[in-house]
Amino acid sequence: MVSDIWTILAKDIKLDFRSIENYFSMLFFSIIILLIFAFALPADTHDHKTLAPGIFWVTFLLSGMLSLNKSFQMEKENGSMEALLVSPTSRGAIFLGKMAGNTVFIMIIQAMLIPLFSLLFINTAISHFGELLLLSFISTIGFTAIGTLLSGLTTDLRFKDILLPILLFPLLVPLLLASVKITQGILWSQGFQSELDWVKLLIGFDLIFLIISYLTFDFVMEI
Amino acid sequence: MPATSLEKNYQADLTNSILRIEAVSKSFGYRQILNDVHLALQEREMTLLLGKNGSGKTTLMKIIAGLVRPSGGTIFFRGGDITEHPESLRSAIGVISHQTGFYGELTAGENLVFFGRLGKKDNMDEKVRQALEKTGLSQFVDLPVKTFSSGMGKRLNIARLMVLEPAILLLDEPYTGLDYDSTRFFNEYLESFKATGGSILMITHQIETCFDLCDTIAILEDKELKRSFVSTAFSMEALIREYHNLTR
Repeated sequence: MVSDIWTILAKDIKLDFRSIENYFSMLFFSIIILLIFAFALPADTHDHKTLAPGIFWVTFLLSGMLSLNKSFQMEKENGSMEALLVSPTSRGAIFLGKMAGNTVFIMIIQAMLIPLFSLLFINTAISHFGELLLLSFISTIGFTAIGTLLSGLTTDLRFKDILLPILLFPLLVPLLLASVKITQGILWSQGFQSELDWVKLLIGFDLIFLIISYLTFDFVMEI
Repeated sequence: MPATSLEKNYQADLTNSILRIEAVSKSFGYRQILNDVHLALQEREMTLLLGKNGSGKTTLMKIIAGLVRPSGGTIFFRGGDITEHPESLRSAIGVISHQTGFYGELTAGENLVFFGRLGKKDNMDEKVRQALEKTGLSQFVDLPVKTFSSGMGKRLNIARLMVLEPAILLLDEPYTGLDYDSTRFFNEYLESFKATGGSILMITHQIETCFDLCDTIAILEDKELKRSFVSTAFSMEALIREYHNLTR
């Protein structure tokens, strides 16, 4: 199973780099959102410290949607999804491979956004690069677990671009709350320690949706 | 179509069948697509599945491929019930449908290696090289599949089957987009596949193209597989005439 996940992940990474415009469009989209917030907010650093974590995660959410939208697009072209589903690999491996692909894609964008976020909102954020990237990783696991499942569910539907966020965003509220709270702790130089309850909630969210999505992907993929 | 002494006896087919479906039904909501369908596929045989558009042929094929769950009935593969767990069957089937089923941005070689790895095949590089050579695609190994013509895509599909070495082929309108040479090449492959013990289930409206290869003709009508004949029961002209009457 691990080799199947790796095979699917390697294929997705290769396809992503062959369609490098996906990275650029997602990156520019994220930069534009951050810039709009930067212009809209008052030039008060105290306010920035309070509001910036929310801005960071709203940007994550909106740009992450682009990754999920394209997730099954390449499978749908030329019917490769059917070929993938007919292969002897388990549906669970397909799910984990696709989810890992989305996670890598989002993490690359997040790594590029943290310096810009620091430049526009809180200068000291760059000194917490490692912590913010680790938090991004934990949050991305939950986001891509449920996002990959719902992306697979809506990929054949009309209005999928609208339907996916309508289904996804309400489910992500706990993840968003926890991520914002933990980010506040990190930016106030208190690290993860100050928000341990939120960290537990975030990890619990990841585990619950990872298991649910893994177990239900088989039914979602029935075509 | 008249019943003849050559009409297939379903019970007699059970002993040697590689794949057998019994009393399979499928409904989407209130709409019933298939009802009490029985079918047996034999080794070294090709079964041609005929029926009107919308009669459920493709759904039946998807059920066999494990892409759609049946609402009722049982599927046996080499004697074992695989209805609930079709994974064991997936390593034994190869599918060709309307679409190529390849990633356009990947090269021909990369696509074959990818599907070969998922199929848990050893000695991949050599198998891919041989398959591309046999299908006449060796010089296109490093070209992205999105640049391939429809015929080249079908040849690449055959190359994938050569790499995966399935025991059963499920073919849904495989002749679409093929020119004369590619059709002949494809039929030669099917003939050699049968000769090596393979079993084929084909859906096509181009009966004349594959008639010589057929061993059994099954007709799906009113949601049921009502009739099944050995192909020698009819001349090609008689079969096409009857088929036109059926689909009119």
